[in-house]
Amino acid sequence: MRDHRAAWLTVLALLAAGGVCLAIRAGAAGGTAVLPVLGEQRSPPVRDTIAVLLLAPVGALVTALFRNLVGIRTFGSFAPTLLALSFVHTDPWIEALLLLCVMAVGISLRALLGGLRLLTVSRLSVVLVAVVLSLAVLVAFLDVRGLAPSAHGLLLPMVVLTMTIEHFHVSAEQDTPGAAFVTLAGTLAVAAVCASLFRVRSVETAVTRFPEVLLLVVAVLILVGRYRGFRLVELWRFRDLAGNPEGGAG
Amino acid sequence: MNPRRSRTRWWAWPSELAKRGVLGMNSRNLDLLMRYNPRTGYSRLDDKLQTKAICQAVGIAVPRTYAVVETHRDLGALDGSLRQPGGFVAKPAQGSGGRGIVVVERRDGRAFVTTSGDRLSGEDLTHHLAGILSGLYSFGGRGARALIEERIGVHERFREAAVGGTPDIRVVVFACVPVMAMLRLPTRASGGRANLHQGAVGVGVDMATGRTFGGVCGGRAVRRHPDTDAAVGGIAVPGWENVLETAAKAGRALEMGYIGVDLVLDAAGHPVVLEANVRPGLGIQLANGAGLWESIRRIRPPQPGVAGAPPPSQTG
Repeated sequence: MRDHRAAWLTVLALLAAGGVCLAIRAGAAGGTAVLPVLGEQRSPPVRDTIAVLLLAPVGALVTALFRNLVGIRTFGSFAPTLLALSFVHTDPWIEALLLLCVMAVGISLRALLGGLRLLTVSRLSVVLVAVVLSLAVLVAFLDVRGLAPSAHGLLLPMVVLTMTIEHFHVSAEQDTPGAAFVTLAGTLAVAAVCASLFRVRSVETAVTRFPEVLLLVVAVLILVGRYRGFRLVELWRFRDLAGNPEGGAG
Repeated sequence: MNPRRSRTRWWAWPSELAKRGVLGMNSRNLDLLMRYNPRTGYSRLDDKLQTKAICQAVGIAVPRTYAVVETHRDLGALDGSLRQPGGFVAKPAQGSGGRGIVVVERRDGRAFVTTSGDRLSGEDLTHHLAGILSGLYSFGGRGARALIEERIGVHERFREAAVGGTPDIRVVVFACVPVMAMLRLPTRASGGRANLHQGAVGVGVDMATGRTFGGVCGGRAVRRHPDTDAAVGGIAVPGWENVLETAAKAGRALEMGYIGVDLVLDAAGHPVVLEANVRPGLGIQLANGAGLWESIRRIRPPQPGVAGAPPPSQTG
């Protein structure tokens, strides 16, 4: 099939390009020669920001793996990545606590807002206000105790949290509350995996020193996108179909 | 049935599922949707108004459209359409999974009473329609039109086996050939809605005879309706050949190679097409206890991308 060949060629090209770049640059000057534009000479805030940017595709890959190979449902394709990126340099327990508190406040408020009969944009914005206020208060409180998360990440979760709260609410109403919670748990679980991956020093160093690693990430993403086998969850969901056929099947 | 069949297994191996011809989500998306459903045709099925127009043009019965609401200003002019004696259905023209659908059975003074017994005020209904217009239930949050259409009542054959809503028949059609079907029965848990993942009961239908068998609800096998305790198996769907013909005709008219057609039977037993799904779910395999590939494999489809033409030869 033509598209099959095209996909494999693209993967090989990416692997080759990424591999060659890596080999050249890792070989030269023992790996410390980085692209002058991205390099470690940047000021810490800029370096951190660039690190966050370069880690995002890694999170996207993790999400794709969980959705296509495992079969975990999430609210949105990028919510887990963005949630994990927001708190890259924070203590994991603080991060989890922050997220859960803000989500709890947001979901409760959204449920109450139903009775006000607001138009959608207005309602979303009210939830945004709640999210922003909760984040600000909690972060300020943590800062007093010297536990504040790094500043650059905090702008990221605003929108993601608001939209996740909205999706959760619609799912709880229109599907079942159980399904909504399962999807929310899935989103947070994948975010947790992304976050732990981001925390591994070598991962962050790898992408910031050798951004061409992202070409390899794209190659894997293409492979994941062509995977036509069963998802792990489906092995459980369709388990009853594996036995002998029942009578009456047409 | 194999008497030694174990009931305690927690998963199946991929090879076992492949042998039974089970269709997985990745395979559905890559091998079926991408190859047989041209992207340009998605709007024909995602937009229920387009689907209805296309079906009507080839003589397929669809529910009557009472009103189409496009802007918030139109909401004020609705009153007449909402006074239909048989009730009405308010749904987003673009939406999936049964989201955003409100089925009103009758009016009680100023209130609207739904088929599941909830009472809505005029304000509640207007607010719901406004939500539809703002894109609350549609793909990607895009604004959608709201559709007010005729409510088809429950056929007497299904009256015992449905609670709070009208049961429908989902027929999966591949290359214009119906390959699998299930009867979906609303329950109290599903709020009168007929989607499996919302809590309805899915019952397999024998393609040859139109008799129901098996049954699943919430992923578990059930033999009786959870609310009425009526048997869900052994129901003979009236006019089954007509149902299959209508589904095939819809597939041909919509020119898509792999779709799920949702039909209901009106009081006289004639099939009425509610909507067509361009990404039909996989739960139908659980309801039938069989894999979709088993049936699809037997059909030699037209060239990929050329959907809507009947296959040159078919068996089964």
